Amino acid sequence: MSPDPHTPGGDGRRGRPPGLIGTAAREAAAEVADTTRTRIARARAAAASAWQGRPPLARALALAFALGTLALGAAGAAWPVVLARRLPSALDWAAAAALLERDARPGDAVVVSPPWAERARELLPAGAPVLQRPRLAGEDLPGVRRVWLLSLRGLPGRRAVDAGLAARGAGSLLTLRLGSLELARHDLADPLLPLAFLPDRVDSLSVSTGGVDCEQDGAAFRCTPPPAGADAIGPSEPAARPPPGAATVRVERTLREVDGAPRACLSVEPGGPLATPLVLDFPAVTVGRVLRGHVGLAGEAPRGAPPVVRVSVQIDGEEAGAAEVPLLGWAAFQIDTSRFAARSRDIALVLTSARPAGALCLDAVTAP
Amino acid sequence: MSRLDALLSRAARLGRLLGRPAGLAVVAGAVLVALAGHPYLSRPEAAALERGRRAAAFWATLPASPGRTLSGLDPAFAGGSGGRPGPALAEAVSAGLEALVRSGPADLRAGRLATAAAGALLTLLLAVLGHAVAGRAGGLLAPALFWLAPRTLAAGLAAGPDVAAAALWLLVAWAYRRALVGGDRAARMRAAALSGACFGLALAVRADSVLLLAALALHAAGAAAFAWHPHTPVPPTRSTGPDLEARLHGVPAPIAAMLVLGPTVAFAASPWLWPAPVARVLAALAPAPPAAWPSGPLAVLAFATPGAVLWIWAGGFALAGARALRAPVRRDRDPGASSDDALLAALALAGLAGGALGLAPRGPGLGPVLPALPFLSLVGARGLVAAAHATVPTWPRRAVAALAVVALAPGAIAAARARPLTSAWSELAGGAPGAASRGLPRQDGGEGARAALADVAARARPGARIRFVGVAPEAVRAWAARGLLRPDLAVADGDDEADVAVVAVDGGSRDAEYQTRAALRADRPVAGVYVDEVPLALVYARAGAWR
Repeated sequence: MSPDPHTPGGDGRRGRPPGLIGTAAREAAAEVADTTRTRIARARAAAASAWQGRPPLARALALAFALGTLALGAAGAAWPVVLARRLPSALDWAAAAALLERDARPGDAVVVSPPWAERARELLPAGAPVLQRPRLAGEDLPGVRRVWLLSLRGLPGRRAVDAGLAARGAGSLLTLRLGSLELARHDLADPLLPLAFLPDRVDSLSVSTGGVDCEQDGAAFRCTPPPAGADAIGPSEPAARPPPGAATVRVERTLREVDGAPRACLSVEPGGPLATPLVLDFPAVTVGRVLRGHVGLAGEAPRGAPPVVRVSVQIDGEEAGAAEVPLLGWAAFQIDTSRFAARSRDIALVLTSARPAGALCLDAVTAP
Repeated sequence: MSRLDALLSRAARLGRLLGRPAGLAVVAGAVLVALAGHPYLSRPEAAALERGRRAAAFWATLPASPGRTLSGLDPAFAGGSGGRPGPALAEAVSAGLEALVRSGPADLRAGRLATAAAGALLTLLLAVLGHAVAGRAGGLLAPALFWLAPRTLAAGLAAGPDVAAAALWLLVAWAYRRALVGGDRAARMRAAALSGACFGLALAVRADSVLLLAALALHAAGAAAFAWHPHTPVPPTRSTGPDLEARLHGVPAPIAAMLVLGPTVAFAASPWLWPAPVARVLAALAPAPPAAWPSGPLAVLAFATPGAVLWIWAGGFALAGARALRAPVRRDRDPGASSDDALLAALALAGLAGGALGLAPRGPGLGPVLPALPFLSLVGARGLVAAAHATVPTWPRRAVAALAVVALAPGAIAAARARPLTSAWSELAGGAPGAASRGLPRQDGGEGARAALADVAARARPGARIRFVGVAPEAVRAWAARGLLRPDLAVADGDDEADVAVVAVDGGSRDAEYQTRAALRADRPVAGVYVDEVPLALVYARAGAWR
């Protein structure tokens, strides 16, 4: 049904003539519309006039250049003040230290974001060890159940660490703001709790190469491989006398930089290719379902194709498995040891490489 | 006369002095000499000093026993700038000057005097050329744009070839310009000879100076093709000698001089070239692998230069390029001005290309691209003056002054705050924190460890042996000679014999630091040096060695 155009009110719903309020409202609306139209027309005229009277391109560019100079100069002069307000104060650091002193417990670790903010390592309590990691994605974090994420909120470079924690499914359970610092506790969804960390068992370690036992030199081992061809493994074989000046292998428990982070590991410096297998014997190690380890090149990453190291895991003299590991970053390997699990056994890691590989950093854990 | 009158009179005298290029150069040189005694000696600077001493010893013994000296030529010139082979004239001059005035191992100023002298020459040329391209304001602005930034100032306060190379590039450009627009033929020929000789010296300072010749040849070709030709017709008066310019068949005299005199002077001043000139020139010019972004000299240029100065350099460069390219279209323009624009833009581009392509010796900070920066300062000064005149035509001088003050203040503030200067990063990088997040170097090479010495002196146990990791041994000797290292403390050569370790954190590999930590059985630093929370040095101590 269409409205009757002759009926006052027009829409057919109301038969009464408009009252005083309706008329006033209609007039007011018409006036507002008129005013708006006038203003738009005026603005258009002003814009057209401004466009007509615009400066020549050269002057406009000069003006933009001068304004840019002023803006950047002012921003640069204000920058030290802006930055100083974003940095944590001594009080902020003290508050974070006190809180961690009170709440941290064994199995906790602190991750600093951005990772270069290493004052935390100096100021935080010893009970809350700081993990130096540029990113957390792909890191095993053995023995860590809870991570305290200490963020310097106003500073750049926090994305990698924050994203790494999120990828582990470790939601923040507690977040506290301490001035310019922020402390958040994350419980790791799937922590790696090792039965044994092999580099820490260096006291009972024995090292041999080509059947020749290596000499212990302080905290390190010095091995002189036999000449090529005499590559038999095992103490029962007669040891060949090494030629004078033969390359030596040095093995020690130390801390090396691999993939941009410090790694507690056994450092193996072969001084050439590991043509003769290097055997690292760890007696009486509790074995779980897997042996998980990492190997990488210490120091600067090499250019070109990475060398490959073969890591063979022998348990009680029987090979449990082996992995060919390209030395690219902190490369992980994992061997299934479930058939040897739940007992204390002798583990031997046997390393070989065809190409010279520089200083290797090797760690391994047995895990349930 | 009241004290105020005396002060005003003194200020006016200083103002008049600063208004003249020579006065400005003297003041700049005096400031550089005064600041050059600082204790922040980096590994690259120590290496340059050491190389210079070997080269200077070679020159000193050459006249007495040429045969024996020449047989030891290669060891004397081994290990060029950035680890690459190369000439060592600037380093040898620095070492020669150092040998004359050095008072002992504590005197680091002596080795930096040659750089200060080169800085004064650079200031003089910047003022002269700035005046020529942008008037009196340009004569003041160009040196200020160059020096009032932490990294260029740092280059002027360290021994090395970069400031000398920058000064020689500018001198060649000035002589080249004089040879094209000089008064009479004799003056032009003298300027051409000067450009050739200075080009040879520039080659003997840094091999990538060969780019100068490429840029100037390009300019000469452009001048011929695009009617930039700035020659003013000169009546052939007083030209008694042969007309060499006419015999060059259109090749500009300075280019001819650079082709003939340049290699001759470079060969004579670079004994390193004598055994196998061609092979060694090729080795020196072999491009180094380009640094991945964000690192390398262009990243330092982008992130360590104050934003306003970078903006002025970029704007001036764009203006110069536009004016040079527009000249052939609009014939009514001043050909001399277009020629200057093209010359400055081409030389700036050549200097930047040398750093970007790896032709320049790989050094710390802005060193590889330093020869480009005087030209960027000149075009920047010209651009700023032009913008001020176009923006506020009624008060152009006040506008120039206001813009200059606002633009230069951040750099001056940063230079006053930063210790060491090589840890300064601009607001564009986000300061030192932003630079650390981008993986940019935190210092040139261990110089920041100096600030840890106060803590070491206060808290190391008596008789402790201190191991310095990532710090130049010469820097440690200088600190000890200055009394910055407590007299009872000994310097340890290895990790095993150390009680305390001071480890420089440069932003590169930290493998040595971690091995030291393992040897000391110290997981946590006991002290540190931080710039805006970014560590430059960390101190580790064995149990019981730190009080």
